[in-house]
Amino acid sequence: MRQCRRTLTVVGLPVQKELLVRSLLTVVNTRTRDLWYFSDSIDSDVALCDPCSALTLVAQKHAQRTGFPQCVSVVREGVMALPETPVLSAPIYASNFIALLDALSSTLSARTTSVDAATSAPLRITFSEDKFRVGVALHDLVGRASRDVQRIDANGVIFHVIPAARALLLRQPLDEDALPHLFRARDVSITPLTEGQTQDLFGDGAKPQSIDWLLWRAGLDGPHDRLLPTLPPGATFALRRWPDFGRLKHQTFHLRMAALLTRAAHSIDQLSAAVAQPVDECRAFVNACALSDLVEVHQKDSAQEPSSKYFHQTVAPSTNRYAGIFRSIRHVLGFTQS
Amino acid sequence: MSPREYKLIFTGSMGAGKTTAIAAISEIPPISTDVENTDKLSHAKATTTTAMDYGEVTLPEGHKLRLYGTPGQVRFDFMWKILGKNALGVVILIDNSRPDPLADLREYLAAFRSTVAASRAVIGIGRMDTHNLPSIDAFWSATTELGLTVPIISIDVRRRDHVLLLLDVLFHQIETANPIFEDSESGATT
Repeated sequence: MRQCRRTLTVVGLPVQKELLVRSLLTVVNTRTRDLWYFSDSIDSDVALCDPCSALTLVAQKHAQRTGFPQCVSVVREGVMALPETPVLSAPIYASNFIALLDALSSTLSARTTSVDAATSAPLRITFSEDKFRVGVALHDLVGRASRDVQRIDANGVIFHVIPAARALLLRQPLDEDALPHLFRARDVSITPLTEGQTQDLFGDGAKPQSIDWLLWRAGLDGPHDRLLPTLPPGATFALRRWPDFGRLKHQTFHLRMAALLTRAAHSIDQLSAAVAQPVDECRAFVNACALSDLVEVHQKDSAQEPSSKYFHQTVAPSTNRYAGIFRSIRHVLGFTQS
Repeated sequence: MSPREYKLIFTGSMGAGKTTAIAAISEIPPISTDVENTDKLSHAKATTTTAMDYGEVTLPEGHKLRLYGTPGQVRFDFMWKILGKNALGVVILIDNSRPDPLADLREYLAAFRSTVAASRAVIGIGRMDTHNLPSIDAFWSATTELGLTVPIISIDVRRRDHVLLLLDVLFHQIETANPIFEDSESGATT
């Protein structure tokens, strides 16, 4: 029987226990039904959790949302296990560990089979009018949170996605030059891989990475002359939090847009006036935020007056009394301005 | 006009990179009070800051930007309040590889609550490349549960451009949230 590749992580366990688990995995792998690999990702198949750690709550919430990881309580004497989770007693013995992993293989196989049955039909999406083909298709795909690896073919640019993990699966980085070609694709083909194809992909060295940057770029580098179909043109928009600019391509005026939109809803025109940038740039930023699930839409007739307050107060940043000191600091430290 | 001094605070858990961040932007070699780390259960690094780190940047017209790094260990929290008084802003650095980064964050948000509530704070999460949990969304939930809204970004403090990004985000946040600026609020002194 062909072995499946499974991933396992630890949540909230002390470093010594994590090292023990990593060592044990290399030993027990010759005797388990499936091949198990340690992963740092929360989107692993299984997570060994300390029931007393706050991080375990985060892992459980993630599991409720995406179906993974399967949480396992690692309990020492006197500690209660998490409700409805398999239990692994500490100290961890190899025989118990093997038995647990084999039991989990059965559970995971049952889940995989049911998912495969539900999603085996290839899906081809053709967009005749909408210009945000790839961005919208990827956003919808990630929203469905399937565990199956999906093959994306757009204008001949081919890559793979694990929707539930919000991950791209790439053998090599997507070429920057390929992105405009990708975002102009007229139709997008999405096909779920079989388990065998998935294993071959991993065997070829495909590495998962967050899909967030690609969704962001699809919005930012997509058409600037319109909003996404899901964003009403006459509405005002706010951000529920700042984009993670540490990982996302941006310019300085995007920081100012984020500062404004996290405080109050603005229409595209208001935003454009407040940051002194063309409306096209504002649309692109809002589109990128929307594909990243950061936008809250407010209907125009409920546009809050506070919006106007921030709008009026921030129209000319140079009149802000902070402007002088921050301008000096930015200049001296050599900030890139745009 | 007499030269003014502005104070920026770098705080966060032990090993989060406060000393490194200050070194990235200070024009003088940072003055550190590092000693051998005797708390290796909390963090395995060899030395840690016991009083504070200090760096500075000279601005036009003789103004100074003074950079202070707080000691990371909770037993020095009395220093946090002293250093945080009248600060222009505070940069909170969290090490996501620590056992409970959300608890770390809550600790520093509480310690610098008045500065954070005045929208003069930014949070940088380090080591997310190897430890992707808690996510940015989880940190965001932790701040909003305390009634606070703070920009949160993932960073690598070894990269100067990331440290500058943190400051840029902080400055945009301050400019937007505090359109009417009173020097007496900012910690500017002559």
